[in-house]
Amino acid sequence: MTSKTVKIDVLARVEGEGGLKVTIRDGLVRSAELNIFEPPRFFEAFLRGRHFDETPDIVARICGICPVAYQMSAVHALENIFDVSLSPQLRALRRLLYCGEWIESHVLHIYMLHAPDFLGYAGGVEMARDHGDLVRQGLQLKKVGNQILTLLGGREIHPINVRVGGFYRTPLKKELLTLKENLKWAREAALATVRWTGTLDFPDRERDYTFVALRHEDEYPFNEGRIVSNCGLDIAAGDYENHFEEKHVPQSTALHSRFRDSGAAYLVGPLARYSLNFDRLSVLAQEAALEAGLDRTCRNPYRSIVVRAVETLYAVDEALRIIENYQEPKSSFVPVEPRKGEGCAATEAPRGLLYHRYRLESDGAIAEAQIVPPTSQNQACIEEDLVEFIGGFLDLSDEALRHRCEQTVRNYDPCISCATHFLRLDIDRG
Amino acid sequence: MRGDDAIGPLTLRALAKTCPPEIRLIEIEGEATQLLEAVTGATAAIIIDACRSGSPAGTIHRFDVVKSPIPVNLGAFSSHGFGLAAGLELARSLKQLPRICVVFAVEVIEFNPGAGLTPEVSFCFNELLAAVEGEFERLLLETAS
Repeated sequence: MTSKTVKIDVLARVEGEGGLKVTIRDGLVRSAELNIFEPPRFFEAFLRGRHFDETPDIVARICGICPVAYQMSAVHALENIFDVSLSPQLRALRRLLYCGEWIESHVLHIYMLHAPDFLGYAGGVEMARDHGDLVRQGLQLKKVGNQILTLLGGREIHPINVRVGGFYRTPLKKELLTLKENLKWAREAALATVRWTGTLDFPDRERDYTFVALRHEDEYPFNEGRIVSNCGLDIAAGDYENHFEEKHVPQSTALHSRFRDSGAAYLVGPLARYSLNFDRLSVLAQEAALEAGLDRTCRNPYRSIVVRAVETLYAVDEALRIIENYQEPKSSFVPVEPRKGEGCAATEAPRGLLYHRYRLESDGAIAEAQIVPPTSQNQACIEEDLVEFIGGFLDLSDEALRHRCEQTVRNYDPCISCATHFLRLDIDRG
Repeated sequence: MRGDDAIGPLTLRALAKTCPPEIRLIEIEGEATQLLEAVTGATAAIIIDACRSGSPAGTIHRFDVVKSPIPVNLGAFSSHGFGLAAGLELARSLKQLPRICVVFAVEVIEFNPGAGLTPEVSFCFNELLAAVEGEFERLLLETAS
């Protein structure tokens, strides 16, 4: 029996600390384990006992690259307890804030983290030596996303302007219009990014994924929608825990999510969103996607770089639409009164579905919080990709195989720091 | 402010009182593209940041980035590992690193929101200020000549 173990102690170009172990026996990949050893961060425990209005600022600290997603899922879940609905303009501003986050997060991954895999560089810094203009274009495009976050969120990392019921301050129309020229440039740059990513050399690998994403009646999903799949699932966020469960696995400080009834893995994120919502993209984004060689459904995870580029183009296009239609709201927020209750919500973080649930005491203190980030939901799928795809690359040298394994993980843009909220504690008292 | 993590902004505020007009003080949040933009086109850059490398709190490290990258064990805590060190290396790759580029990294221990500087870091504050002002004088002399 021949055997080989591919061991990557520390994964590069992913957020947080994780490693990988792939075991091969007789030419077949027997197992693949994504080892997440980053210490758990206990955010759900931090939230207990805090007043609900502190939540947006606390959860923004979970991630430096997708703080808006955490803020959005949190405020929507809490607003469901208070039974408030926002004015159309406040809702549009939240959608605009999400556009900013998608742009800066996707562009960082496309240009600095994922492209080096396709162009043969150790990382973005090395790639910049030979592809300076390309990297500068990426950085400039990312900056446009950052500008939206700064204007609407108060600052570009860990925004501080989101509150339950709306915002602390809403922008003037003339302030939003200052973004317009840069966004027009960004639309061309994002279109160029779709075209360029479409020319990359992709391994010909596909899997029959179960995609899970939000679907809204007439929008590409950010803040709202039902949770749907390509296998017939169609539920409200309130039913999420009836259909999905988190489990602890020995190799990870982050929980794995699976379907509760079948135990099957599922995929969230750009591929799922795109495949379940192609018809909700703007015409420009749809045309660019097809022109770049994507079908209406994408099952090749290596092509996720193209899908992220399409979503970036959509986010820029949508931001322009929102700014052009914006009318200053009369009030920056809807007042809420603390009450006892439980509420949940799911929104679409750049990396996929992000579920939050909160239980409040009558004085507004948080009694319980649950946060299920996209990377937790994708872990099982990442391991299945490795088992299924890596067998076809076994003729590669060890170094090339190691690189292919890392690339397969990076297809997901995993955010390990986001995923390590929780450590299951088993006490054996004999 | 978040404890010792405020060493950069607090130093900037102290420098603002005596800073020569040729030198621009910029506070950035640690995002690499902001840093890249701030150093692009500058003759020289002096960067002040908090760090944790295992040295005692209050230790001041000085690095000449033009000569070599910041040591790996001083890599900042940064989302997607794309903070100060990566930003400077990206500037080097893009040939946008200033002719003179110095980083002062101060060892810190306290990050709690609302907390002030710890005694260890407070103790080194004047030394840091003097070191940065010394760099300013040297820079002005060099650029004048």
